[in-house]
Amino acid sequence: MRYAELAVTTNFSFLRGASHPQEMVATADALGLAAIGIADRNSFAGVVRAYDEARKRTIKLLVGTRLVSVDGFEALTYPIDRKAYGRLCQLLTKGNRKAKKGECHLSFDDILDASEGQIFIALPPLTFPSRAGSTDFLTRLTALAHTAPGRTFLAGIHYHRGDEPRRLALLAELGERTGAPLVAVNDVHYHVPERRPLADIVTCVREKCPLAEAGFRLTVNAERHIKSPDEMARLFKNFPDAIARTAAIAKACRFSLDQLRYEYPDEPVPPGKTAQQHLADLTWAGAAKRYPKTLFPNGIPANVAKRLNEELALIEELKYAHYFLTVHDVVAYAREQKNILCQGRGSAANSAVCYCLGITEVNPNESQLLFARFISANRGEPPDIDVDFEHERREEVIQYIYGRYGRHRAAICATVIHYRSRRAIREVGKVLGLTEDVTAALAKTVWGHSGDGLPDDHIRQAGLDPANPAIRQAVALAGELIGFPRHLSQHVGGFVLTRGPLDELVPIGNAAMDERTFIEWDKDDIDTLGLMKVDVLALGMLSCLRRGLDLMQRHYGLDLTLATLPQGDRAIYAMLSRADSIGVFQVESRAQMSMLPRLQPQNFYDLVIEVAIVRPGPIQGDMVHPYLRRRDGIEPEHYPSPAPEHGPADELQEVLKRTLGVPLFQEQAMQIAITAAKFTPDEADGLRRAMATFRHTGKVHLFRDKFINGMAGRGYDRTFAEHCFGQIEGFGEYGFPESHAASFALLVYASAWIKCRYPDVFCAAILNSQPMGFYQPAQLVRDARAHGVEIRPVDVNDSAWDCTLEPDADGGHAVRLGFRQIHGLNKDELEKLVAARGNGFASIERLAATSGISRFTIERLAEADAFRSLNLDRRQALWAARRLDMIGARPRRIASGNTTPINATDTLPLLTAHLSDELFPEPSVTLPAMPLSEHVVEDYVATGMSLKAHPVKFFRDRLSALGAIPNAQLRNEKEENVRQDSIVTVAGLVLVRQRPGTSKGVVFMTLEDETDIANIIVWPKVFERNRRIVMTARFLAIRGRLQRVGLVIHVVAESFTDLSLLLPWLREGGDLFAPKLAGGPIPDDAIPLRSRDFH
Amino acid sequence: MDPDRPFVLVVAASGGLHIAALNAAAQDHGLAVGETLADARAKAEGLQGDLQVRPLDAAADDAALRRVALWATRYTPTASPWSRDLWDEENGADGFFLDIEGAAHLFGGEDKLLADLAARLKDFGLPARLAVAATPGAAWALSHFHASPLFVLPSGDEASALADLPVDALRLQPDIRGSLRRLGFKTVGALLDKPRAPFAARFAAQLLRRVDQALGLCDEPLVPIVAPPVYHSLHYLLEPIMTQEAVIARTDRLMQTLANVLARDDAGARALRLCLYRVDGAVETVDIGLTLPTRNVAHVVRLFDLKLAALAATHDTGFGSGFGAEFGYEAIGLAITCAEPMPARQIEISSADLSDDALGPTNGDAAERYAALIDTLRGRLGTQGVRRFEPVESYIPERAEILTADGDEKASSEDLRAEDLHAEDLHAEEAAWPLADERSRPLLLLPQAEPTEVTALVPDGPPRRFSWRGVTYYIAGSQGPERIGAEWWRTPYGQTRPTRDYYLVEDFSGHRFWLYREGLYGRETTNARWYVHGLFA
Repeated sequence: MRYAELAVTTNFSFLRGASHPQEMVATADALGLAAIGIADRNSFAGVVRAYDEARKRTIKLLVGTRLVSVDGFEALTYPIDRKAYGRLCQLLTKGNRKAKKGECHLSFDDILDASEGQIFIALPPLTFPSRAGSTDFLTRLTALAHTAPGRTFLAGIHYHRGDEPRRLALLAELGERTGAPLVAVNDVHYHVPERRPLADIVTCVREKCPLAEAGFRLTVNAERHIKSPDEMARLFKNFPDAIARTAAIAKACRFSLDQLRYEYPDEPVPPGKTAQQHLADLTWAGAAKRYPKTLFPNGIPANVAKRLNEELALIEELKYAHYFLTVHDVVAYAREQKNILCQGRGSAANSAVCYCLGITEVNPNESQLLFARFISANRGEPPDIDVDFEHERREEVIQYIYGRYGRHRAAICATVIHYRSRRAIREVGKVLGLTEDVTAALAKTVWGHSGDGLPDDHIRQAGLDPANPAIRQAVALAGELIGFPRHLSQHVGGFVLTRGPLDELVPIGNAAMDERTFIEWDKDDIDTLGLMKVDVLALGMLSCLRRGLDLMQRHYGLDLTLATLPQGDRAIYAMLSRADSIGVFQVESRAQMSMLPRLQPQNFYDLVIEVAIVRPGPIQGDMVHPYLRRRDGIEPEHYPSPAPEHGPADELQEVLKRTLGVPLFQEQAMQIAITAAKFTPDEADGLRRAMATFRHTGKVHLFRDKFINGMAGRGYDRTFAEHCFGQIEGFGEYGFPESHAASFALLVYASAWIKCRYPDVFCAAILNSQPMGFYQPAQLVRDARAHGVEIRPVDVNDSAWDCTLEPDADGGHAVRLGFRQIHGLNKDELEKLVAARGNGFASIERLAATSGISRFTIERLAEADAFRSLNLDRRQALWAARRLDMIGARPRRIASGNTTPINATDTLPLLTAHLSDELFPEPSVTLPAMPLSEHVVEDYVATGMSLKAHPVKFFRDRLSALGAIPNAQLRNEKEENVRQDSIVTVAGLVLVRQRPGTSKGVVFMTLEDETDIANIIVWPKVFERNRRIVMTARFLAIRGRLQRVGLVIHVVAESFTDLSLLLPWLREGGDLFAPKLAGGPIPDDAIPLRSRDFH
Repeated sequence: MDPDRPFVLVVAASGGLHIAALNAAAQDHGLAVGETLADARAKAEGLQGDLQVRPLDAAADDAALRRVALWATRYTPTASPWSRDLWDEENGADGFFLDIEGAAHLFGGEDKLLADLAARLKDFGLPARLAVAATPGAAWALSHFHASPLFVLPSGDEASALADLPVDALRLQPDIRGSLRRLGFKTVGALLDKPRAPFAARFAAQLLRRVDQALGLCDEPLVPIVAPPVYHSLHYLLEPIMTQEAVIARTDRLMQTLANVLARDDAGARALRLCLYRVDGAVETVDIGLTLPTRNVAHVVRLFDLKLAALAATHDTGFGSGFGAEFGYEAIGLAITCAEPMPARQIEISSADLSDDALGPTNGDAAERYAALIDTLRGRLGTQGVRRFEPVESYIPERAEILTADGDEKASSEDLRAEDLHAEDLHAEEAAWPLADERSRPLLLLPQAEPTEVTALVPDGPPRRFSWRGVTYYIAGSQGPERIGAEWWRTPYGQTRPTRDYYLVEDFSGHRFWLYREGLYGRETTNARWYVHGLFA
C-alpha cells in the first residue's frame, strides 16, 4: 500500500512541532512513504530545509501549508503548480501584513479566494461531528468543496480515542455527502514517538505554564509521529480509499521548489545590451579610471588586463554578471549620488572586476588574492559580496533599493533565531518546575558555549549532580531543544531582489519595526534555492572616516578619499607597531594591541594578517605562535607535505606561501581540506556550513574523522591535521576569510592614517560617530590629549551639537567638545540653541528667553558645567537655572524629563525683552563652593569624562602610602623598580574587565590612573581566590609581577586591594578621609565610574 | 530559602532583572540594590552555594507592612503605614508611624514602649530602626539616619538633631534631593539658616513643607490604617472573668454589636479574631474563619465556643485547667479581620426549616445552611475532616480527581460562593467537570486497577474474554482502544512507564467493564499485562 503523510507540522510551526523538517523528511524516506507533505501553520518557513534534505533522497516532497483562519478553520493546503504556489504565497502575505509580527490573520473567505489550483484537506475539530460548533465546520467544508470541487478532502485522523470505527465512518460518510472524500493523515508533530516529551515541553513553553499544570493542553499519547504505510493501512483498514487518496494527491501536486528558477532584475542592464556586455563595458571603463593615462601611459597594465579577462570569462561561464551589476548599481548610487562611504567585502569582492567597478578599494594585485580561488570553492552558489555603508546613512541606501525595485520585488531576508543552550535550559527548567536557582546555575555553566549541549563536568562545576535524574532530564530535553527555531527576525541587511513580484515567490511578513517587512526565508534558504541577495550592512568606522575626510577638507583644505589616501606611509606602520592604536579600526582591542608590537606590521599585507590573526580560528588552531616564530626567523618556514606516493611534496606550498606555511585564513583551511584531506569542494563547503550552524554535534564528528584521517592517511603529520581542524572549529560562525581581512585592512590603514597625521581630526570624527568601537569618549579624549591635541570643554557659547575644530595657538586645531557629549540632550533642541546664539549669549536668562529651550535642558547644560563663558560655575548656573520659571524667562514650567522644546514666542511676558536680575531682587544665598574633586565627579555624571582632572589624582598620596606607583612609570624601563619580574603595585579605576572564551578563564583588566593605563592579567587560580574583588571593584590597587615583552607591559596580579569605597569621598572635596555626615557616605551609585565588562 | 546565604529579590526593568532588595549575606558579596541580576550572578558565581533569587512581590510587601502596622495597633489605635497618596514610594514604603501620645505611659514611658516594640519585632525576625520625636518628619529622619537604631528625641530639639543629617532625611522626591546635593546643600543644617524666598523660587513646595513638617512649624496629618472594612469592638471588664462561659457570654454581646454594624454595611464576616487581654499583660487570640460571609451571632459564637473547647483540650492554654485563679481577663475584644459584601437576600419563605436546629442558622437559604453545616463540621472534625472532590486536568483516570479539604483558603473564596450553591445551579456545576473531549469514563473507578487474565489479539486487538475475581466473562462487544500515555515527567529520567490501551467491553449478560492493557507491543513490551479499572452501569 502506498501512503504519503500529508499533515506534518515541523518546528517551524514555532512551539508546536517538535522535529526539524530535515528529520521529518529523513524519517518518512526511511519508512518508505511515497511522499511527505510539509504543512506548517500559515507559513513556508521550514520548507526549504525539507527541500534540501529531500533532494538528497528519493522521497517526493510536497510543499504546503496548514492554513488556520482567525476563526479556527484549518485546512492542509497543497498547491498543484507554480501558479497556485504563487497564489498561496500571496494569501499568506496578505494575512501576515494584516497582523503584527509573527502572526497571520486569514479569514475563511480569504482562503476561498485563493483556492484555485490548491488541494485542500480540511481538518475537522477534535470533537467533530458530535459537539456544538460542528455545523460551522460542515458549512465551510461544503463551501470549500463547492469552490474547489475534486480538490477538497476531509482529513481522518486516528487519535486512538477508542471511538475510531464510528467516528471515522461518520467522517467518511459526511465526506462523501459534501464532496470532500476522507483522506488518512496522522497529524504528525514529531518524527519519532520518543519526541513526545519535547512536544509537551514546547506546548508548555507556548502556553507559558509548567508541565504539572498543563493538563489537557498536552497530548494524551505519543501517536503523533510518522507512521509506516503498513501501520497506517492497519489503522484505516476499513477505509483503504482514504489511504490510496494520499498517494493520488501526492501525484497530483506537480509543484516543486526547483521551479523557483531565479530571474534577475533587469534594472541595471540598459536596453539593447546583455548583462555580460554591460558588465564588461563598465569594468573596462572603470579600469581606465583606476589606471589613468597620466600614470600609465601604456594603458592598463598587461597583468591587470589579463586578470580582468580571466575573471570576466569566469563570470560569464557562471552567469554572475547580473549579480555584479546589481551590487555595482547600489554602490554607484551610494557613492556618486549620495556621497556615502561604502566598501565591499566577501569572497567575490576582492576581484579585479570589483576593484575596477569601485565596489572595493583593495587592489587585488597588492593583496595577491585570487578571485577564481574563492569562486571555484563555492561553485553553483551566487558569489557573496557584502557591502558596508556608513552606519548612519545605510537607511538611505535601503530606501534606494526599495525605490528602484519596488517593495513588491525587494525585501529583507529573515534570520532564524534558534534556541541556544542558555535559553533552552531556562525554558525547559521552568517547564519542568526546577527552581530558578538550579536553572540559573545550569544556564550559567554554558558561558561561551552557545552551541552544544551540556557536558557533565560543566554541570558538576555548577555545583549540581549530573547523575540527578531531574537534572539529567532537563539537560537531555534542553539538548534536544537547542537548535530549534524560535522565531523569525529581520536580517540586518540581506536583501532579496526578484524580477517578478516577490510575494509570488515567498510569503512576506511584518517586522517588529514599522514599515519594515521581511520574507520568511533566511540566507541559507536563499542560497539553497540559488536566489540572489545583496547584503547592505552598516559600519560605524565608515561614518567616522567620512567625518574625518570632511573635517580634513574643511580645516586643512585636503581633498582626499579612501582611494587617494597616501599609501605606504612609514609613520603609520611605526605608530601601529608601537601599539598606538586606540580608535583605529579592528586593531584597537587589548589583544590586538598586544599583537601589534609582536607582528611589527610593515606593509599592507601585514595589516591583513594582523586583522585575521587575533581571532578564535588561528588561536584555537594554535597557529599564532608558529607564525610569529617564523616571522621572527626563529623557526624555518616549513610546508607540511604528504607521503611521496600520495602527491607532490609542495602541494600546500601555493596555499600557505603567503602566511609562511601556517594557515591563518578560512580559505586556507578549506583549501587544505580539499588539497590535503581530499575533500570534494562540496564536502568542504558542507564542512564550512556545518561549522557555521549551531547544532553541529553529529555531523562535525564525521567531518573531523574524514579530515584528520584523510590527511594522516596521505602521510601528513597527524598533529598538524588536528591543529588545522581545531582552527576550522575555531572559525565557527565567525569564519574570517582573507578577502574580509583585506577589506578591513584598508580601513585599518585609513583610520590609522588620520589618527597619525591629524589626531585632532580623528578625535573629533570618532567622538561624533559614537557609539562605536572599543573605547568610551573618555579614553578617546585622553588618547588625543596624549597626542598633543588640545581639548576644550562643552560651552553654551562655543559648542555645536557635534565636536568641532577651533584654531589653536600653534596654528593647529583644538577639539571643542560638542553638546552630544552631554548625556540626555535632544539634538533638535540644541541645534535651536546654536541657531539663536548669534554672537553669544550674555546671560543665562537671555539664553533661556531667546533660544526657547526647556529648563530641563538648561539644567543639563548647567550640570555639565557649560556656562563658564558666562562666569557661572556649575552650581551658580544650576541655581540660576532653577529660578528661570519663576522670573518668567520660560513661558511655563517644564516637567523634568520632558525635553519637548516649546516655541518660545508663544507666551513670552512683556518683561522678557528687558530681562535682568535687577528686576527680580532676592536675598542672596551663598552656595557652598564645589571642590575640584566633586567637579570631576559631576563632569563624569554629565559627560562621562572630565577635562579638569582624573579622579585618581585626588588619591595619589593615599596610593603612594600603599606603595602604588603611577601607571606611566611602568613604561620607564630604566627605572630599577620596574624591570622584568619586579613586584609592583599599581592602582586605578577599572576601565575594562574581560574574560574571553578563548582565554581559558584568564581575566584581563585595564586600570586607569591620572598618568596612564595599566594592563592586568589575572590567572584563574588568583581569580577564584579574589573573585568578588575582581568582578566588582571599581577602584583597585593591584600588586603583582611585571612582565615586559617588547613594548607590551602586563602586571600579573597576585593580590588586590579594593579601594572602591574611597570613591564616594570625591564628593567631599579637600578633606577626603574625614567622614562628616552622620548618615555615612553618599551612596556610591552617584559616582558614575563604571567599567565595561565582557564575559 | 536559607537566610544566611545570599538572597535577593528581583524586579523586571529595562535591561533585564534588577535587584530590588537583598539580605546581609548578599551585601557581603558585593551585591547592591539596582544592579542587574546577571551582574550579581557573575559576582556570586563560585561562592559557596548559589544566589537565591525570588521575584519582588510589591503587593505582598505592602500587605506585609499593613499587617505589621495592624499588629502595632496593640500600642495605639493610630498606626499609619505608607500611603500611596501621601508619599512617594522611596520615602515610606519601608515603615509606619505610631501616634503614641497618651499611649506611652501605659507601657512605662516612651523608652520602654520603644524597647518593647523593638523586642517584639525582633521576635518576628524583623530588624527595625525606631525613633520617637515630636513630629512625624523628625521621627522619620531619625529612624532612617540616626546612628542609633533606637532613639528618643526630646521635644523641641528637632532643628539641632536634624542639622547633621543628610537632606535625604527630609523625605524629598529624588529629583529635589539630587538638585540640593548638586548645589552643595548636603545636610539639613545647610538649609535651615538660609533665606526661604530663593528656595521657594527654585523648588517644588514639597521642600519647604517637609522642612516645616520636620520642625513642627506646620501640621502633618497621619492617616491611620483602616482595614477595609474592619470592625472592632472592645469590652473592658470591671472584674476579671475566668470561665469559658463568661467569655462566650461577652463574645455574644460583642458580636451582637458588630452584627448590627455589619447589617448596616451590607457586609458579612469571613474571619474573626477574639482577643483576650490577660491581667498580666499577655494577650491570647482565637481566630476563626468562615466558609461564607455571615452576621449570624449564634453561629459565630458557637464556632468560638467550639474552638475554645478544642484549644482547651489540645494545649493547656489557660482554659485547660479552667480559668486560673491568678490570671483572669481584664478586657475582651472582638475584631472582624476580614469582611466581605453580603447583600440582603430574599429568604426562602417556604423553607420548612424555620425553627432552631442543630445546624445553627435557620433563616438562611440552602447555601447558607450548607455553609453553616460545613463550618460546624469543621469545628468538630478539624479542617481536614471535611473534604470534597476537585477535578484535575489529567488524562490518567485515577489522577483526574483529588480530594481537597473544603473551606480552606483556595476553595473557600473561589469555589464556594453562595451563588454556586443555589440548588438550581448544582447541575451546572456538575456539567462543568472538565473533560478533554468525549471520552467515556466508568461510573465506578476501582480504587486500584486489578490484574486480570485476558485473551486478545496482538498487537492491539480487543479482549475476547477475561477472568476477574474468579469469574470468566465472555465478551460480546467492545470499543477501543483508547490509548493513554504515561505522564512521563512523573517518572525519573531514563525510566518509562508503559502506555495504556483502554477498552470498554460488554459481556453476554450486559455487564460493562473498563479494561486496559499495559504496554504497547513492539515499542514498549513483548508481554503486555491486563487490568480491570472500572465498571459501567
